[in-house]
Amino acid sequence: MLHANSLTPIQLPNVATVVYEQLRRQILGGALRPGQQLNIRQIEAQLGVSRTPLKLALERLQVEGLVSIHPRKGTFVTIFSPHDLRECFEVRIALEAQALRSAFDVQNRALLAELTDLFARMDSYFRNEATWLDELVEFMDCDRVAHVRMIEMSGNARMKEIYEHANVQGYIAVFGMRFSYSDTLQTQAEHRAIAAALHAHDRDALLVSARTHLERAGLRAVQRLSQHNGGEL
Amino acid sequence: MTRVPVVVGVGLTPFAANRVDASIRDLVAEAVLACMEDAGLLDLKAVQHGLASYESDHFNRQMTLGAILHDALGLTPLPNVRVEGGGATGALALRTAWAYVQSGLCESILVYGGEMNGRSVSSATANGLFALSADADWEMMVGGTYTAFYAAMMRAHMQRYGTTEAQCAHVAVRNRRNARLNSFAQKPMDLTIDDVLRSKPVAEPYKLLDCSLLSDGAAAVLLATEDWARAHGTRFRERPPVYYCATGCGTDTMRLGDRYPEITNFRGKRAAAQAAYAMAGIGEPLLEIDVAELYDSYSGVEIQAVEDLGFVPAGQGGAAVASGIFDADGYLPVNTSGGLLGRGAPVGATGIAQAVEIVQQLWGELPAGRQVANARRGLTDTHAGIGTICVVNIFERRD
Repeated sequence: MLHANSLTPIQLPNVATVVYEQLRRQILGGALRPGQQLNIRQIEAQLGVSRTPLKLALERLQVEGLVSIHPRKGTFVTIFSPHDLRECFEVRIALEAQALRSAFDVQNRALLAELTDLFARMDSYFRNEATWLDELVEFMDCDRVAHVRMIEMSGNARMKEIYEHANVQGYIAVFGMRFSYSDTLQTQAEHRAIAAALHAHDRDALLVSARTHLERAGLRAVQRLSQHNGGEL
Repeated sequence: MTRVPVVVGVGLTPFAANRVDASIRDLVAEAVLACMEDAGLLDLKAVQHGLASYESDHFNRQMTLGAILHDALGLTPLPNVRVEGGGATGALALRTAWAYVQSGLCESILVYGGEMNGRSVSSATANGLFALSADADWEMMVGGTYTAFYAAMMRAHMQRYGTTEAQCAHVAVRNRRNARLNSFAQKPMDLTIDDVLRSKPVAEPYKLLDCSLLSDGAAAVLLATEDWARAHGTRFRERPPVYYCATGCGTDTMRLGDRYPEITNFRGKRAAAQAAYAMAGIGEPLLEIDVAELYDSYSGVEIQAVEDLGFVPAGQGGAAVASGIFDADGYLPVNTSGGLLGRGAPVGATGIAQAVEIVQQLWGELPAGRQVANARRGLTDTHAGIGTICVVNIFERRD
């Protein structure tokens, strides 16, 4: 949070953040495909920004593992193997389990209410097969926030930092591959189990349901990735 | 020691359109012998109770058929009881047997049932006889037949949720395709969605290939306490124990017109499922059930069922079914036997045969392609009329 009397450089970081967010969304949304080279000049022109904020944004994306910058060759959207994905999910499982274990001592009502709301919203999507793809981006956004909130329940800021980094890789790969409709139904059911455990304040059920969800989500993601382009995106 | 019944053995006859070679007694005896052999039970008289399951005196052209079958099987002077609950007869029979064992009335009980629904009468007569199980004063007299009631329900579902005929057709195609891996099935077929959509209209939106079959057949299941099973079933120790762990029942009004607030779904089925899930400790059925036999009397009924059983939220059934989530290689395979559409539906045997499929799945004894990997918990969904009596039974492997 910014203090009213603190002095912070405004212009550059803000533009970089905006660029970062736009590019990130393009990658997560699948508009920029894994393996695709980013045309820096074109992006500069399209966004109407100079090289410096774009560079800052790309560096930040590289830290998150979303792009790979190869000097003299170019900047590419990262390609993931099923192995990368499996690792991502293992990290997620370990972190989420630890976060939830400590979370139940916190009993943060506001957070619980927000999570309940997020899960209810996710459960309301995909009622129609014809339009479900349109809802996928929104659903995935909710999903991401819900998982981050569960980490936040632990009150451990470092864990959240590590998590956001690990989560993104799995996230983009899953997203880029596009879920099938039946994947979304399974995800919704798994979420309902988590929501029920949250609602009941049942710590054991929460740990089991969250773990089950991530394990199954990981399997689905690896399976989808393996089906695409012979194992690599 | 728990009194939750275990399954000691199961037996079936092939389901067929016309078993000219056999009477109902022969069919039931065939299923019971198969069940004894499956259980490794040497002496049928060791069983403590009989339970006869059949729906119709008319189709079988025999009243007091329970006593006749009991006698024909050589079970006298053991106690016997007959259970009837329309289309849900077989499942209600198992539920009754569950209570008999749990209550301590007996340590073991043989549930046997069958029906001659095939060509013993013409289709028109069959429809007329089935219509007799609707409200004869207020529905049958104005031409109400079950196909018409089911069609009206599905039409309401389509209007409210946008469910399509192609989604229904997916069920008809898949269940008959599943039947191809079941040598006891009546109607294994390799169809396309278009084949179903182009088949003869019966009662819109249902076409001929959306409708289940009239069959001759029988089924038997031997239930007992675990102690009794260990002492008498010579094969019991060879297999992972399968418990009949939960049962739920719900009902609805006889007349479709009396239903409120809607006729898109089966209220009694929701009640039955909730009761069974509470008993089994199931919170999220799509995740916690590995395999299920659903009552697909018409293709769209399976779509309604996956919603009422809580596999997916209301309105999502059509899309869920079409996504392949319930196919043999899907997340929760249903009707691996072929269901009523593919395997057939001799009413008194249907609910028992559904249980037979689930138990064999849990034992892991089915052929590749039909066997669901690592199935540990299975469900049967059976109903009478238009969901007038609904029974949900749950079986669980515990090893």
